[in-house]
Amino acid sequence: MESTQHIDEAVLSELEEIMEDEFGVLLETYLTDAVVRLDSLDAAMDSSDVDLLRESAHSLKGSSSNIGAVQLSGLCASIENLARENQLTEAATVVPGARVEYQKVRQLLEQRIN
Amino acid sequence: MSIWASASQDGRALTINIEGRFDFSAHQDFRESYEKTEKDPDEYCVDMKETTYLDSSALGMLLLLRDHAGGDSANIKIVNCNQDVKKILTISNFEQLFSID
Amino acid sequence: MMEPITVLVADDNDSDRLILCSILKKQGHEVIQAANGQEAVDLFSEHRPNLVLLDALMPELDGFEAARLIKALAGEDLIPIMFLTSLKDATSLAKCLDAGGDDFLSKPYNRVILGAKIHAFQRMRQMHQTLQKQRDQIARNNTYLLQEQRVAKAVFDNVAHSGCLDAPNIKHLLSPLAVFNGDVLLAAYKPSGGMHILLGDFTGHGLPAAIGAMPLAEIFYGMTAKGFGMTDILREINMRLKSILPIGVFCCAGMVEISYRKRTLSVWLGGLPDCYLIRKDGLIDVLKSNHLPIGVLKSKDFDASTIDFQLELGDRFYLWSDGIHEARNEHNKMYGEERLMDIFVTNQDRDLLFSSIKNDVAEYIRFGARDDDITMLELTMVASESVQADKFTLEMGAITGPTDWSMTYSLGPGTLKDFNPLPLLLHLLMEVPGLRPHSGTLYTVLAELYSNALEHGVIGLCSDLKTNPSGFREYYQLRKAGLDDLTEGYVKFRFEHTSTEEGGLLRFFVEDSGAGFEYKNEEHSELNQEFHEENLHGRGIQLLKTLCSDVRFHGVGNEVEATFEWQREA
Repeated sequence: MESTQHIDEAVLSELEEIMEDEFGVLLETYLTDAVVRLDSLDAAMDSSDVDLLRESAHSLKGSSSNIGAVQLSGLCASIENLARENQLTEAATVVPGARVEYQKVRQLLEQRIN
Repeated sequence: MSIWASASQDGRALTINIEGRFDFSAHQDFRESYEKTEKDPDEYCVDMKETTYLDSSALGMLLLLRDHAGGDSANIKIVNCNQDVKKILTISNFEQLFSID
Repeated sequence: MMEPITVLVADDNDSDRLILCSILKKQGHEVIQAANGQEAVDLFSEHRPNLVLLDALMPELDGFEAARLIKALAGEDLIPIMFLTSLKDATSLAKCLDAGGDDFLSKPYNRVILGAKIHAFQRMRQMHQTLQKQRDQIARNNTYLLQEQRVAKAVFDNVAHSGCLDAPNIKHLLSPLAVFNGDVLLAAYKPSGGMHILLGDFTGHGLPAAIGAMPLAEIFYGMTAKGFGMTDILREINMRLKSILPIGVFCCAGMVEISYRKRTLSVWLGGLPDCYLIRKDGLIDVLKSNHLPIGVLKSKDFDASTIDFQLELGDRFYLWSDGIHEARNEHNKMYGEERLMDIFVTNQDRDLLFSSIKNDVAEYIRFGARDDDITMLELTMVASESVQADKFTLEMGAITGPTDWSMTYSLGPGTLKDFNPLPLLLHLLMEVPGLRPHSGTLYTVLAELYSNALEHGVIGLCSDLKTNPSGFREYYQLRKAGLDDLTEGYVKFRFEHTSTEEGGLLRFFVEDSGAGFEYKNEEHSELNQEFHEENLHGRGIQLLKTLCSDVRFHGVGNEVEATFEWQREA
């Protein structure tokens, strides 16, 4: 999947303005939470649990969109849809991509915190 | 129900038309129809051509008009009453207070 | 600037919750945070926030279930719930609304939209609070009003209580809260044994109608008990109502005076629908209202003249307000006069006539709008013995009042012309404890004594005239002429009362300015009565002798003494 942009800078700037001193805390919270969701995605694939897959993807989709991580949010939306349609094989090709995308987002956000 | 009044050119006569049911809901409109005249007319005409029904509160309103128009010296005609309306006016013997056609 | 409120935010996603809380705090609101549905419900009970923001998918208890519980806890307070969701499909969104959600906020959050939505909810909440306040106020007012009506009705019932609507020859129909429909139905025994009945229908409803009913009933019962006639009572009621009621409020009424002894009926009708008099032989007299309602005309213009009928036993009179005529069925058509007349024409059994009318009207309006203001009355001419007049008067007040006393009361020519002293005198006598049950007899005694003194004494009329019908008329013409021309003369009353073990002894002395007549007092008047018949003033004296223990004459025959012995009732 060709990536054009990992982070929507406008969303992030607005968040910075809203959060003020807590901006760093927010980003760290997001990154920690995202790992938990990614682990859930893997666990759901391992146990072929479509409900867990859908819920985890839905949650990560929402928080990623809030933080401006548009690519990751899009990938999660795909996983959520596949889970809803019970297409586990298809989903298996997308889930690893989400973790790769997360690493890029993490890099960018950590730069931002420091 | 709708009520409208028209004054003669010299303002000496006022005709009040009442359309539909003449009952308590007409209270405000009826009063305004004769209180809003620029000068007090010498004679009043209540035209009931379009009036379908009259209740006892309407009789009360006619008495209020009579009082406004000078009580015992009031000059008020009630015209074009249908049979039902006339019957109610007659039962109450309003012809003793108004000229009724 | 918005009024700050308390907002509950429930989202299991920490970063999303953090963002939302920051936006809300920046806008000045107080924020309570929950990480799952159950926590949200618990915190809601504890803090009663003004607005709830719920994530749809949460562990423990999801947003839908939490919304249902929170709405139930909120009761009638308006607590808007906004779902936080990136759900896009229609089914999911509808599910949010079904669960009690009022709106959505989608991710990524936009603070401008959130602010605007909160603002809109604020307006809604204020409107709801105003509405609730007004509703509570209306409910309170209504409770007061009902309470006031109950009290007013109790007072009115007390005023009307001395009435005799339960007399055996009266049937009546009156709604329980009739006084607030503007309908009044009153009946009272006259001291002389007849009855007065009044049916009134005030314009308007509620308090204005009830207000007029009070003085009307007071005057009706008060004056009837004091012996006033129907025309005096009507005049007084008209005068009072005209002075207290605003212009435009009046009382359509019918009043009747019935005498069982003379079998006569006098009727006054002002503004009521046609009333019927149905004779025993089936003939129906239709009586039209020939007067303006009560409370319209000034005293000087008020016409109290009546229509008079001679009745037979079993003749019935029907009086009603326009409630029957205007009763509506489900097509909003009125019952009308023809249906009513039909019942009279087709009726076979007079005893069932009243209930036939009642049932027919009830049947007619069965599916129509419910108006309870149907008032009607049936009055039957019966023999005077079957109407017990004395029960009502037995209600004795505290036993105090004058017992041993005397008084004189003189009337000169000006007073004799047009003043009836009997009600006043009877009123005085009624102050004597225990004498009230005898008011009928006393009224008759006073009336006979007075008319003898006035007509035979002062005016000098001869009672022979009254022996045939044409003479009767002449007699009354002469009486009227005599009174009109009266320039001198007097009637003097002297009453002496002493109390006895069983009751009392009341002596009447009535002296007039007339020439008197040759009389012969007897110690045993029951003997040889017809001997004096010629000289005694007509049959009135005979009546006096049956009512009084002793009747004798003094002077040249221009003074009569009558003794009334009475016993206290147990």
